[in-house]
Amino acid sequence: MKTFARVLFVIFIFASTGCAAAGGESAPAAPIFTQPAPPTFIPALPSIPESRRLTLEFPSKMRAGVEGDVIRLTLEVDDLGNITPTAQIEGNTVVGDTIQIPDLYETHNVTAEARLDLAGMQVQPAEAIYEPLKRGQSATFYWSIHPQTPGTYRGTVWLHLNFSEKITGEQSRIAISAQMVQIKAVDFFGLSVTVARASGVVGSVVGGVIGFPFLEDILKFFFKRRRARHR
Amino acid sequence: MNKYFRLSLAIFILTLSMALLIWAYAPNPRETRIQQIAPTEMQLPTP
Repeated sequence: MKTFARVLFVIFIFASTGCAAAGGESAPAAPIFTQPAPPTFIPALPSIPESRRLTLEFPSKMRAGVEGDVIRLTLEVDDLGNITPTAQIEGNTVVGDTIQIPDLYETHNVTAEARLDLAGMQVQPAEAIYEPLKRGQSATFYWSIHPQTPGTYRGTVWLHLNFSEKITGEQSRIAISAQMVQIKAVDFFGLSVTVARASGVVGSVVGGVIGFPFLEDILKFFFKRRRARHR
Repeated sequence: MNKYFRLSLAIFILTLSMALLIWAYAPNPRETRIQQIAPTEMQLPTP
């Protein structure tokens, strides 16, 4: 009798754990047939088929006052750049052919837009500058800056590309670069550039006049040394 | 003594004037940054 009760208990335990593993459902799970998903074709977006190099040139330190300087931004074609990207997976194995990227120049008018935001300093031009971007051609932007007072000026040089579709005229815009610039404007112990230049010229004249009477003595001294060496 | 004082004063004024002129006419130090832009960065924005 005890043996029969034990067998019943063991059967009950197995039955209850089996139901729990099946999520409380006694019906067997239906087999799942998975089909491999068809490869999705994502069309490549039109892009500019050139690698480009963006060069920003600016004075890191300059004199405050009337003097100005120039900031130059150039977007030029990089001849050494790779212009045909290919599909790759991990391990650097090429699994596809060269991706054919539609040429943006054929379908859109491309315009480079550059702007310089520099707080506290006089910037010319203050507005954005636009320049059409053609195939193989570079675009250069210039700003003239005039720091009136000494100090550290920080700003951002922005470059956007504007696309205008030739047929529909649809406009779109992307940001290419935003670079922080820091320019330190200095003076000469409180003297501005104009005062320093004027003082330098006047001081040279005054120093020359004061030292002129000794010019004869200095020349005599050097000639005496030279004669002494020859003897 | 007067002679040496005048000579010292002339040298001092000339040195100061030269320092002012060099500072006022020296070219500003320039910084150049170069950034490579790949074609994938110059494509139409995704809708």
